[in-house]
Amino acid sequence: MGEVRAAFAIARKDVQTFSRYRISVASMVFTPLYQFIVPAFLFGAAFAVNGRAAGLSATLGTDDLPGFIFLGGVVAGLISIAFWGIAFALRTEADAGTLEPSWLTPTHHETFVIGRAMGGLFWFALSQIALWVIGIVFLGLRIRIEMLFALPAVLFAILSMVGMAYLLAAIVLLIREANFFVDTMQFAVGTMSGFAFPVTLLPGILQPIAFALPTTYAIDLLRVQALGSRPLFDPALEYVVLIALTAVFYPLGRWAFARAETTMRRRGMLSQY
Amino acid sequence: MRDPAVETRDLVKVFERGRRTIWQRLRREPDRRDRFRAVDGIDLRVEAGEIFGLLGPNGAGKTTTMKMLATLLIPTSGTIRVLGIDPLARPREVRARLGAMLSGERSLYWKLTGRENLEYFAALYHVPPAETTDRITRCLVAVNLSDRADDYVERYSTGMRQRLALARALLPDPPLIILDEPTVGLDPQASRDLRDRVRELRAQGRTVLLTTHYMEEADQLCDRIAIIDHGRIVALDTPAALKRTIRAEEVVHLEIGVDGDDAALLERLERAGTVARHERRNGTLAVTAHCASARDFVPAAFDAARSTGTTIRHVEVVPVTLEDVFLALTGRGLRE
Repeated sequence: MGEVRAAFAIARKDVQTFSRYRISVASMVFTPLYQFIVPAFLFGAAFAVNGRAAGLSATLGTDDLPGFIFLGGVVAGLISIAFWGIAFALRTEADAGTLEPSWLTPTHHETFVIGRAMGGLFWFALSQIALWVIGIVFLGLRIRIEMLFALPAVLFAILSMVGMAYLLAAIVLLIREANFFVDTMQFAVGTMSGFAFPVTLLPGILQPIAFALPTTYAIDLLRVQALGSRPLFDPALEYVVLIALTAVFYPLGRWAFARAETTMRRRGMLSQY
Repeated sequence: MRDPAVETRDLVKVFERGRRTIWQRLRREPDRRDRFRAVDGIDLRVEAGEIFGLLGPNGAGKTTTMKMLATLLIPTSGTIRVLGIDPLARPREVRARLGAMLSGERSLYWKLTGRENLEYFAALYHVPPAETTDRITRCLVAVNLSDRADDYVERYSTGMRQRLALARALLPDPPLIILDEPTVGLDPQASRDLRDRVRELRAQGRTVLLTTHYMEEADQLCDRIAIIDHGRIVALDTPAALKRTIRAEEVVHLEIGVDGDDAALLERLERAGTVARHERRNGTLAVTAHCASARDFVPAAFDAARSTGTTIRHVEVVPVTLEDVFLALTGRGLRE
């Protein structure tokens, strides 16, 4: 029970702290909008034939460009939480000097990842609501009841992202130039998961990497169930692979995090700021 | 007899300097990194209920020792018992019973209020929800911050932040509190205030283990002091007993104008007292001498200067301090 309360306290602290930087809160909505959603939407619209995303339709079996982009944005948002909201934020805490006193408490150190994930999901939900409202009002995004069928895929995507966050946190806590690592890896994982375009368009050499990422299946299942797009594989198989990858990433991430923690305690890296 | 609050035996911490690349690891090349013994065989026994100080210059190994006690660092070798618990085997049990203030004002969330900081850490310390409000109120009162509890920490002075960090250390109601350089960066008033709080902790029956490189602080505050240099304890006793070890009642600082060789002068001064330290810079020889009585030593020093053709430019007589003890033991000053 103490760990659950600690996780909620960590989430609450993150929400309180972040909410006091008003510009950062606004940027959470507007950054994905101007960096990804609007350019992707305009790019797609530029290649539309008579207002129809014919290329998308031929490739995926749906011409719902706004739905394609915004559903990709859901998983891109989760990837962003794992990379920036959890892993990089722990590094920031170490640099600021607040991680050390937190780790001096009896709270299990893994709980800091869970608590940060909870705080991140709060902001994720808020930003997604804001983005979808903007999409509906300005970009022709349509809400369909079928989208609810995609919720299990979102749930597994969240679980796999927490596993990935453990792994990332382990790396980020051990390296000094975490910013560059997080930035490039987020781009690589997001791109190879197909958040902005179908993964079948990736160069062949990158496709095995794409198929090893749980986010690839999460995005595809979201689109299949919400838009009726053509799946990469049989959806049932995709669920099995998504669950299997989540089952691999979660313990692997926890193991790596525990190793990183021991390394930090051995090398005295916790307070090297 | 009560168990000691802290006990270490032959505690060693070695750090590697530099990095071993993945390529070197894969090729199984021998590890040629330099090794630095930050803590080099420390035996400590801190009794329950005392204020125990680790005194030494920067880089002596004080903080490394503290971090090993606090479970933040894994020792290279040696054994530790904190409140009878092995922190390597049961780190979370140690953390639950330990109040620690290791990195001062930087360790707080500046965008939260003082109370919000304590609420957050109370949850991390697993303080029961029913007790949290009372516990936080008591901790704020203990550090005299009740009236500013709802201000953002970014609006606090350095001294207030240090006090809030101390309040956080009190949250688990710990029998043992460790404080690393608690008064660094504080003005004299704030330092005095914090020292008063530390004395109150002892009065409440808690054990306090602190590090400092301020000899006055160690002298005034600690029941016993371990002087650390190069990762080793070079002396351990009460402040009074430590000062008695140098067998001098007074310390005389001299500045002497010297043109040529100073060997004859130093030899004559050694006859009158103990030359603990001498340093020559720009034609001035600075001498620190320990003596039984300055009334006898100073005239003898003037005689020595006259007979060697040198001139004493400045004389200062001060009582023996822990700085002198450190000087006598290591040949260096605490601030070097």
